[in-house]
Amino acid sequence: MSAKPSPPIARNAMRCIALIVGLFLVSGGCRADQSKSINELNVFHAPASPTATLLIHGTADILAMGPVIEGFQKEHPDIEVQYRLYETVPLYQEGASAPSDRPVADLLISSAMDLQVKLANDGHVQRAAIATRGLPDWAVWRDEIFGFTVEPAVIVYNKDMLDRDEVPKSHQDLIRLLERSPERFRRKIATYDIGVSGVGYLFATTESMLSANFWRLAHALGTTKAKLFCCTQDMLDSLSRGDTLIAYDVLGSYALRQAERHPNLGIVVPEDYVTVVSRTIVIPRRAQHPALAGTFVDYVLSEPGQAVVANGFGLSIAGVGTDREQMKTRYVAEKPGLLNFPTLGLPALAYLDLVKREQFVKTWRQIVSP
Amino acid sequence: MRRPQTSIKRDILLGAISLLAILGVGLFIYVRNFSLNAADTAFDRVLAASAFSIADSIRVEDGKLTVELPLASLEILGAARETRAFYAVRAPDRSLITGYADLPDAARGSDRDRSPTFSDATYSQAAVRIGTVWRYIDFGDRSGWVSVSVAETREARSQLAADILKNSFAPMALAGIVICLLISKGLNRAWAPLVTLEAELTRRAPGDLTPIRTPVPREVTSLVSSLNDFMQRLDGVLNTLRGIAVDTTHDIRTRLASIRALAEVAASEPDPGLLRNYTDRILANAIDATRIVNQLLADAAIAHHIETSGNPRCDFLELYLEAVERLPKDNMQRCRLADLSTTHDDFPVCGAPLALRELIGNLLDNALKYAPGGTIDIDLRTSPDGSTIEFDVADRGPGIPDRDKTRVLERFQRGLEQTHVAGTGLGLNIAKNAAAAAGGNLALLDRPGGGLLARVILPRAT
Repeated sequence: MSAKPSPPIARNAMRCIALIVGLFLVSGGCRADQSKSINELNVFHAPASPTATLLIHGTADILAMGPVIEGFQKEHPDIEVQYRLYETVPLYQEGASAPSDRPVADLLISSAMDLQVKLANDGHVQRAAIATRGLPDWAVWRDEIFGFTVEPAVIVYNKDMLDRDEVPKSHQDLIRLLERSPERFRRKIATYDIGVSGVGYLFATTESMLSANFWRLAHALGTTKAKLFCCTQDMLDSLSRGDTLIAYDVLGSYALRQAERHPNLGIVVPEDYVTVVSRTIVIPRRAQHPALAGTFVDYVLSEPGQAVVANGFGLSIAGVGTDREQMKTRYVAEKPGLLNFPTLGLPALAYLDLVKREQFVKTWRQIVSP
Repeated sequence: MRRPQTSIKRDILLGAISLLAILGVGLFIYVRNFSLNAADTAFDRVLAASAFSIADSIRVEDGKLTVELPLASLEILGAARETRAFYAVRAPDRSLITGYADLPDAARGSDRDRSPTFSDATYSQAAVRIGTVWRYIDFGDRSGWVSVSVAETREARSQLAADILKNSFAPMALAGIVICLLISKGLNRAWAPLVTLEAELTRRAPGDLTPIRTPVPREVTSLVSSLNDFMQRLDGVLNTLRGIAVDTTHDIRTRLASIRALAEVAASEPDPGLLRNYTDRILANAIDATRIVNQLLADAAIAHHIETSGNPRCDFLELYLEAVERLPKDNMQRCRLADLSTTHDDFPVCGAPLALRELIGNLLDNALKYAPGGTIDIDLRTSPDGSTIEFDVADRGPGIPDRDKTRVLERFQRGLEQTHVAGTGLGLNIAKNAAAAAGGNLALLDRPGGGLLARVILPRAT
């Protein structure tokens, strides 16, 4: 399984990466001093004497991912696991072209589903013979990409600075709140800079398809001079400090964890619609231990694996539909809205088209931060 | 070297299986090609629709070509979940507007040809189908044909083709197996009556020649009736031979006893005159015994011959002339032949020549014997309608009374009036049987003006 990609593919991939990275750099978002320490290597030593080492590159932070890896090692004590933290775009980059200075990962775990789909579409990943019983259809593509979490975009607010009846229960509420008193919320609203954050772009494009009010909300955000962030954690930190009142489109799993440590944060799962992303896992075509990687995927999708995932990420794939009560309580939502599951498949590529992406981000920026 | 034994059942079954196999291979190739074409045709339309939806979104902005990739373009390809897809939109100068730069570029046909073109290629280490549509975009001096190529991997097509093949070929394969089974069953069914017959014949006692009564299907009725017919004839021959053997034993024993008694008396007879008388009687008895043996042996031979051989075509005239010529000279002179010269034609009949010869000989012999001294009138002619041949032997002897006419035709029955003439009572019976075997009959009639007329009527062979 160590066939090298044909030269045209590699060249094409390089060009794409260059363009995407260029786009990110031009928009000036990607800073080195992000809250995540990029490329930090975590080694999970094997409980027994190690027989193999599994190398995972992922974008999920160690707090969420650690328990999953330890759970895996409980069942396979002779495996050492190395987990290297990545941003979505560099992760894609390494998956698409051979890194010369680093060993090739056995698994890539990313919240940027669209980039993972592109990796699979362009032939950089391999199939895994996984028993996908019980998984929803949308969570598997070509037996190459497996979604294993469900993470809704939620609204997080600072309880100390927002009246109880002011709390927006839906996107519609948020729009009305912002439009009523733009001066009060000036520089007090936080959201992703969709030109920088892969997840933010994914949420925004999905919502633009779901809701006729998407651009009205963007306009309201622009009127209040919303603060744009690259990363979820930064947004939540700013909220906890009281620098901002409301954060919009925050990854549910991070919000949940932050709210546990900072009781002044409240979480709303919007009542009208909820966009959802799923973390996905793929085995690169050039993986050095594909069989072992398959075993890991098997564990993540198994019942014990999903229980650990549900704890670490808030909701597991398996938890959706079977236990809405769990979701209600964990996200403090009276009426969980309609979940809009992401598209794991070709349509995800449409918003990755360079021209389309450029146009969407340009328009959004013109409205949100003129 | 012995030839291996053939089996109709095996031959038919093997023949059917090989024919079905050849048919199956032919059908498989045909259906496979058909399903591949059908899958390509179906999915090519989707590919073209995808390319058209992208082509519809080509715009000119600030003098530059731009495409806002419609979600639908990839959604319709993504409906087949397994498919990977690639696209490239190229400006009139062939530079890439958006998409995969290294996707094979399509050559453009004539300006008037706006229908999508399709081609096969290998891309991203997989076989792909590329559909290309063209759009003329008018934007100043760089106006020209913009191409939109969309490629998809073949998983969905192969899947559809395999499904069509499977769903259309599986019933055919099933039908083939069923046909083989039916042929096999049918052959066993067809063979069953023969097996039954075989069992029945094996079970029989050697001497049991009664007809087979086992019910059989219509198709083997003729075989069974042939068998029955054959057995009936065999039974007839056996009965005749048995009768002959019994009669012979009796007659010969009587004669021999008589000869022995006369010889014993003669041995002690001193008178030469009486001794002469005894030897004459011994000689007469010996001649009689010899004739009886000869006649009986001839009868047996004819009976066997009639039953066992077919009826070849032969010329009755020739047989009759031969018989006359074989007569002793004085007897031959007593025969008066009707004017054959006027009715000079051939007399073909179907019959065993040996039997017919005996028939002619016996009739002549009888006439000469029972009408000593007189002339025999013989006539041979074709009936007026040409269907039969009539052979008359007429004498001027004492004739046979009507009440004896049928009786004398039976074996060892002689006319009551003629006991003084040496005879066995077999001659007429042999003649009757020979005529019957040739499909005709023998009649004894009163000759006008006195005497007997023996008439044989035989069908004329065509």
